[in-house]
Amino acid sequence: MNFVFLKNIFSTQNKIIALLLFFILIKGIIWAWNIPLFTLSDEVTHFTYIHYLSEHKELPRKTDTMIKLEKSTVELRKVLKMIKIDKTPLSNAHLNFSNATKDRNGSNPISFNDFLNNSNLRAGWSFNYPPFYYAYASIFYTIGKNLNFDIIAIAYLIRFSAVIFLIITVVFSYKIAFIFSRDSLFAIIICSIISLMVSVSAVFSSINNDVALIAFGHIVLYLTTRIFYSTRQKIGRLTIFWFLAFIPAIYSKPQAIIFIPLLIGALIYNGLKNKGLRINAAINILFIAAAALIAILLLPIGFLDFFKINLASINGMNEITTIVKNDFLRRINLVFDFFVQLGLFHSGHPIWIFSFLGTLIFLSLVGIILFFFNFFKNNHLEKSRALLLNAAPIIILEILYTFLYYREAIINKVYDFPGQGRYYFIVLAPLVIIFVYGLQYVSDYLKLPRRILYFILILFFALLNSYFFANIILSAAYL
Amino acid sequence: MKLFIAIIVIIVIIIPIFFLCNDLFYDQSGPWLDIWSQKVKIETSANLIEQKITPLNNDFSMITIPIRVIKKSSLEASILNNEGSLLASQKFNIQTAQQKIEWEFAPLGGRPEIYILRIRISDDSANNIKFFLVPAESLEKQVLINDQIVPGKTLAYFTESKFGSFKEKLKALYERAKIYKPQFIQIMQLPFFILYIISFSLFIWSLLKIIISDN
Repeated sequence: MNFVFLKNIFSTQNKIIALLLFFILIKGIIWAWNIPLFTLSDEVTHFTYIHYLSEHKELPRKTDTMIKLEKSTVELRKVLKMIKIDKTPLSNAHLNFSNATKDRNGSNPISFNDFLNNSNLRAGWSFNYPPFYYAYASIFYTIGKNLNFDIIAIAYLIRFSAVIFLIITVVFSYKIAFIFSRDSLFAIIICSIISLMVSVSAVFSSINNDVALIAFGHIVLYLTTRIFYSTRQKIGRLTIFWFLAFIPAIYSKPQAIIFIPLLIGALIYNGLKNKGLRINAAINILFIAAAALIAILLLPIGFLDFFKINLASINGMNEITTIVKNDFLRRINLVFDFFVQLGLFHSGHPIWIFSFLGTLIFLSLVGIILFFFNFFKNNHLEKSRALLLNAAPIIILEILYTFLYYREAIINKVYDFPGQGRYYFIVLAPLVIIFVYGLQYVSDYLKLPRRILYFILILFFALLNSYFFANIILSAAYL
Repeated sequence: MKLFIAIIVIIVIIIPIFFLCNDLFYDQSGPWLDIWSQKVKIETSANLIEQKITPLNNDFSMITIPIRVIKKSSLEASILNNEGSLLASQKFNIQTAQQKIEWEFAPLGGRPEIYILRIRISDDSANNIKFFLVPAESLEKQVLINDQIVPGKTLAYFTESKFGSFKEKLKALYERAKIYKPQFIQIMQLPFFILYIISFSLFIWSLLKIIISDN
């Protein structure tokens, strides 16, 4: 008998991936259950969307939406009043336990006006988002309702449902990292870091359309990588799969638009490599036209107005300096935020975390610079190509966010958008791959064995995982 | 092998417990914790500041007041009950780099809902220390700066209470983690937490093993 198949299944690599997925599942449950409800980023508005879709079986965009919502959200507003969520989340997410009550029926609901306009709640602002994630979550809402769950139990159920998206993200991060490195240990390190990152855990414990965007975004990234390297025969099939993953991504959040230029680039590269540019050009035009059409149809009305910016509204050199200075500060903050942001929880973390993390980020940057500096000497073309393929979605996203920052700064005088690390999770795997590869390059340069680097990285992120859960999340939420 | 076990025990169990044991303070409360208020803070200097404060519970034993120091100075802070009786008082020497005053005192006990925080600064020092004012929840709330009432503003501060022991802290954490949770979570919480510790340990164990054995 041939036991090769069984041997493969029980290989060390598969065992560790199975353990990793089991750990993610349990950790997802623990985080989702222990972070107080509605204290993670924008949960109230996303839950209200799901509630509306489930209760009224339509998107919250009709003229009578508010009238329907006022009647149907009484129970939800009672819960918000009871846990005083209109006051707590923007402090350090600490609930007022000295006056804790379980008597939901006795409490008056938050007024509908506060529900919509209180700066801690703003329940309606997400209503223009495309509906994929909300449709998915409404399945769990309906299941919960059929089981006679109350609003709180339903909301926790929806939170928990995000763990499937984390598993998808980690699996496809492994695949992307493996194509990049052809090294299973490197790929395991990448997805282990992702699953230990506290900022990732916080996002995937929340009620938020980001989770679906990130998961399907990673399938799209993986397929783009496959298209980039594939033979001519497989292009058609891969592009169809790409499109099937792109639809839920763009139907989750408009940021998925960044994948369109990425696909164009991959197809053009593949065409040049395989001398089949003409065939690919036809596929290009068809797919890009379809994808662009879907993207535009999904975006809020007034899409073109979005690009109109009145430069005359800038008040002289002082304002230009303010805008540019804040852009720089925002980017510095983002670098750390990417690894340790915890929704609305206070981020006054100890200095040893920032010092060590800052050193790692700096060394990684040095490694990437060294790599390209040595490029002309060593001519490591294949690795450069792989690195640039990972950098491409980050660059496209950065162009989009830079535009959004300057738009917000000029029009609304808001200088901190997009100021949260989680906005970059759509390119989570490529960013972590480049981060680890930069460090690896430095360690190779210094003749430090890679296993020592990996050892340090895993210990550091595992330590952060433990520290943040017990001493930031639990402490800030309950003590 | 022994090293691995030690590492895992440190990461999964000792580190969280160590930091949890590290301080017994809880229930932070006060206007300075509102991150949006911090963005609109205004500076003030004074000889006398009086602010009504309402800590969350009767183990009130620490107050933190953010400041900006221009020159070494000194001040005296007192806490009075609502009737004006002195409950605690302390003098502080303020250093140039200092960013906050952290004042710990014996838990005040009893349960008056409202206390008065009084800060006196000598004439020489008054301009050397800047305090922050942030928007109050309502216009009725106010702060007294010298002899003037500033309506709609409050001194930036936050209060904390203190547990009697680590055991008390763990017990409160366990009880509070069940509040506002459905019954199925309350029941499953502990078993899943044990499962989390086991799966985390196993995962780190295998990962470190594969790293060490890789060539």
